[in-house]
Amino acid sequence: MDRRRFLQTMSGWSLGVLLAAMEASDREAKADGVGYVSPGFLRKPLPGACIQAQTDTEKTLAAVLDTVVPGPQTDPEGSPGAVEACSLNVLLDSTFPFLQYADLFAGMIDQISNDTHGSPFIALPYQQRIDVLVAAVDKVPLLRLAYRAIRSAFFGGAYNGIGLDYVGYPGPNLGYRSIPEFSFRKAVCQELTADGRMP
Amino acid sequence: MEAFDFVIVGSGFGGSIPALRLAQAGRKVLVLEQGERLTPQDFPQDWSFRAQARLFTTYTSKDYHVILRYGRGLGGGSLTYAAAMLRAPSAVFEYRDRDDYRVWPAAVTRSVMDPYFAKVEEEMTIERASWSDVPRAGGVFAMMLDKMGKTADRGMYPIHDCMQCGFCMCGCPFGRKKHLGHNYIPDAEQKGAQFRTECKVHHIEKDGDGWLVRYKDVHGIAQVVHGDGLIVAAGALETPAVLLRSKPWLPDLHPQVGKNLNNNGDVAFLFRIPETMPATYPYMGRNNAGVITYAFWEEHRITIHPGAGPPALVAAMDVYSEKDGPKVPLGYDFKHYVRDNYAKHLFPALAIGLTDGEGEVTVNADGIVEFVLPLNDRMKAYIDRVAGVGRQIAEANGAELLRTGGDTFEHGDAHPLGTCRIGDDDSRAPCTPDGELRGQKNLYITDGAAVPGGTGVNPSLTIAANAERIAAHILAKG
Repeated sequence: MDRRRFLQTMSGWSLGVLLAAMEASDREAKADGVGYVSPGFLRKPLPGACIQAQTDTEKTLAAVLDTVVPGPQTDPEGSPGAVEACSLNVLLDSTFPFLQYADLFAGMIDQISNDTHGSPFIALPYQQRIDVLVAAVDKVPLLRLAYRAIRSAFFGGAYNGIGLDYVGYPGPNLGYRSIPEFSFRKAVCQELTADGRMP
Repeated sequence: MEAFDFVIVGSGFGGSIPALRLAQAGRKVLVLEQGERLTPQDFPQDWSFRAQARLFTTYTSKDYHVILRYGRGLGGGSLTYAAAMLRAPSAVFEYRDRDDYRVWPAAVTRSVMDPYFAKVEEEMTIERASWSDVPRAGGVFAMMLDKMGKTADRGMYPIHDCMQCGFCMCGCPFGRKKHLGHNYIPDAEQKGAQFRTECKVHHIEKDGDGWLVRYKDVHGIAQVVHGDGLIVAAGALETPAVLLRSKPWLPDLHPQVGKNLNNNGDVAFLFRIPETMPATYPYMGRNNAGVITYAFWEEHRITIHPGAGPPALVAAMDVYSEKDGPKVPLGYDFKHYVRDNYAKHLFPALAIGLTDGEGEVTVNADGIVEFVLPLNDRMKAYIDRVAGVGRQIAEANGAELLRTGGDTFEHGDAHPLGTCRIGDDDSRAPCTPDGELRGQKNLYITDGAAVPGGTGVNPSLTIAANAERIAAHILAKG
C-alpha cells in the first residue's frame, strides 16, 4: 500500500469500523471460524496494470517469474502465479536494486540454459527451468534475493491481492483482537519468572 | 559555525536517550538523523520492498549470504522494532569468548544495569503482555513447551491496547506501539534539544578538545557544526562507518573499530505443527508473538521467540524440510506447500543466543558500508545447537522443524551489535567501559555498536539501558 492508498484507507476509517462490525456474524459462519476482517476497500489494487513483457529480457524475466511461482500455464492446479500478481513490476521497479542487473541476469539465465539444455530459458519445459534457476544460484548467490522478492511480492500482495487470496490471508486489516480465534486468552503454560524478567 | 555542547549522530535508542538526559541537564544538544520524521500515517501495512525501503536501510554481506537491516527515521529502530523489551539475563554480562575474554566490562553487571533497565521501562511504559494479548502462534508455542514439561513466559512490551493487526515491523499505523517519538524525543525537544532529520553525516574531525561534524542537510547542502562533545549512535553498521570514513582526520583511530560484529546469535526457523494441534493463524497479532521460552537458557544459552508473521515474510524465507535437505524454494511444490500450511500449521520462530562476534564492518572506496559475518565452524556448531533445541520441541509435539537458509544461513536480520564495543581490555575494545572511544576525548558510542556481545534476548532494552548508563556517566563527569 502506498501513501495515497493508505490515506484513502484512513479517510474511510469510520466506514471501515462499521463494515468490520457488520462482517462479524458472517465471519462466525465461515467453516473454519476465521474470516476476513478487512473491508474490501483495504484491498484495492494499485493503479496501473501489470507490466507486459515486451523485450527479450522482460520475456525471460517473466518466464523466471512463472517458474518461481508458477501460474495457470505451468501449475497443474491452474492457479494464478507471480505473473498474474504483477511481479514483473517488482523486478522492474526502479527502487529495487535488481533493475540494474536485469539484462545481466537474463543473459546469464539464457547462457546456462543453452549450455545445459541447448535452448533459451523460455523454450525449456518446467523442470528444466527449475534446474537452471537452481544452477544460477550456485553461480550468483545474490539471486536468492531476487527469488525472495518474487515470492514475497506474490504472497505479500505487493501489486494486487491474488497471492493473498491464494494463501488465505486478508492482507491489510483493522486488527484481530476481537476475533475469538485470535488468542487462547488464558494461561496455556507454566512460566519461569514471576514478573517476566529473567534474573 | 553553529556550536553545541553535544552533537549526536543518530536518533535511535543510543541517540535519543542521551539527548534527553543531556538536555535535561541544561546542555545545548543537536541530534542529526538521516531518516525522515514519520507519523502513523507513514506506516503502511505493506511488506513490499518499495514500502520497506523507506523505513529500513538494508545491507547485504559481501558474500551475499547475510542480510542485515535496521530502521531509519526519527526514532531509528524503535519505529519498526517488534517491541520486545526484555532485560538481558545475568549470564550475558558474565559471557567469555573463545579466548576467555570477558566481553562486558567487569564493572557492568546485571545488578549495575538494573536501575537503568528500570528507568527505560518506566519512560517507555513497558508492561507484561496479558494472556489475552498473546496471539495464537505464541499460544500454540507455549502449549508445545507445556507438553514437554517446559516453561514459556509472557513478554514485556511498550504496547498498549494493541489492535493485533500483525504489522509491528512496518511501524504501527495505529500508534499503539510506543517508540522513541512518543517519549524520549518529545521530552528532549521540550528541554531544548534540536532534532534535524534527513541529515547524512559523512565524517567527523577533531576541533581542539571538541569535534566538527560534517554532513549534508535535507537539501543536500554540505554543513558543518561544532560539538564540545560528540556521541555517535548511528547503529552498529553506520557508527563504525562514520568513524572509518573519518580515518584521514583520525589517524589514531582504534584498530578494533568495525570488528567484532555480532548478530546477537539470531537464527530463524519455522515449526510445522500437525493437524491435530490448534491452528496457528500466524498473520494475527503482534509480530513478536507474546511469549518467550527461557527453558533452554541454562543448558544452551538460547532463548526462543515465536513470531506472528504475514505470508510475505514467511514465504520469503529460504525454508526447507530437514528430511529434504537444503534447497532453493521454487516452483509449484513450494507454492502449494505455503497455501496448504501457512494459515493453520506454520509459525516462524527466532532463536537468540550467545556467540562470539566474528564479523566485521568496513567501508569501501566510496565510504559505503560493507560487512562480513562468517559462517565458520563455531557458527555452524551454534546453528546446529539451535536446530537441536528446535528439533527437540518439534519431536515432542509430532511437529516438524523447518530450517532456513539453504547453503547460506538465515540469520535474523535485525540485531547487529558490537562493532565499537565497550570493554576492559584496551587492545580488544575500542571503547572504555563508560563508552568513550579510546584515544578520542569527548567522543562517545552509545548505540548497539557499543554493546559488546549478544544479549540473549532482543537487544533494544539493553541498548537503551546502556545508553542511559553512559549518559549518566557523561553528566557525572561534568
